[in-house]
Amino acid sequence: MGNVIKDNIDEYDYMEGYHGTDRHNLIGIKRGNFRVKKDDEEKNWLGNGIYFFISSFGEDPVEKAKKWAIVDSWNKNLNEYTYNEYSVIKCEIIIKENTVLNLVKREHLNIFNYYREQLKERMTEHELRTNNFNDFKIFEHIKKQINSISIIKARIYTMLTAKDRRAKVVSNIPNCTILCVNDNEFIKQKSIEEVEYGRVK
Amino acid sequence: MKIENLDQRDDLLADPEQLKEEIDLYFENISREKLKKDLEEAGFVVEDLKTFDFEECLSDIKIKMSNNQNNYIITQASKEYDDDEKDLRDAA
Repeated sequence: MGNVIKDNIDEYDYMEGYHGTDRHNLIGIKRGNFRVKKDDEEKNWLGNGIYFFISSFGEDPVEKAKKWAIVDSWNKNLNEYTYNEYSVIKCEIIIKENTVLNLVKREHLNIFNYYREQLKERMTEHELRTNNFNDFKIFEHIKKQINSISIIKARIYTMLTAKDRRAKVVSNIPNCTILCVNDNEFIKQKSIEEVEYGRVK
Repeated sequence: MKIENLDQRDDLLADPEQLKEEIDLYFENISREKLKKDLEEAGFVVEDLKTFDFEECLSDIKIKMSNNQNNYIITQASKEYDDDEKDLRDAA
């Protein structure tokens, strides 16, 4: 993914987003290098990308990002914390015209469902089948085929505490609003700042 | 300018009509090979039903069911044996 961040523009539309992560990542991120890591576990809800909690429905995105960073520090396979300190990083996310798929809006929800139906129909027609026809994969597919989409906004449910994970909560009722940004190009580098940090335990 | 509510900024949202056109264009007459390739590039594990061996799959299912049945019988027999043994011990 590209690391080019547009700092040479003065006027732009932006949203404030909050990213929770290992504090060790802060220096790299401030240099303009959010890593878009491939997620083998497919816990990234809208496909691969850089994720931010945003303010919506009266939610506190800083608190959500903090909780996410803390809960994500635990690696259940290794049975240990993978980092000791978390950081909540605030960024200005540059929003350009005609680039957002907003799944909070009915018209865009219809588009996603239309895409899924079309994909399913063509697969049936060509006698192809998959055992992992899930949202993550569909978002990956849509982003590769529809180039105009750079940012996806959605309301989702995610487990934000260790208790949630122990209880293995499964829910379709959202508890946060997120933006998934395709790459660093849409993040204003000079705006990146740490707004909170602390120990994960 | 800071956006407070993205939902009210239709100019920034992708045009649904244009998106639909792009989708229709992509799927219109898409070949089997291209669809398969694109699915795999997105991370899907694709099964080819044209070459899918239903007989083999059915045979696998039958073996699994048979194994499950055998396991069930063994478990039940073991449980009955334990119960009988307990009854005998209680009686003694």
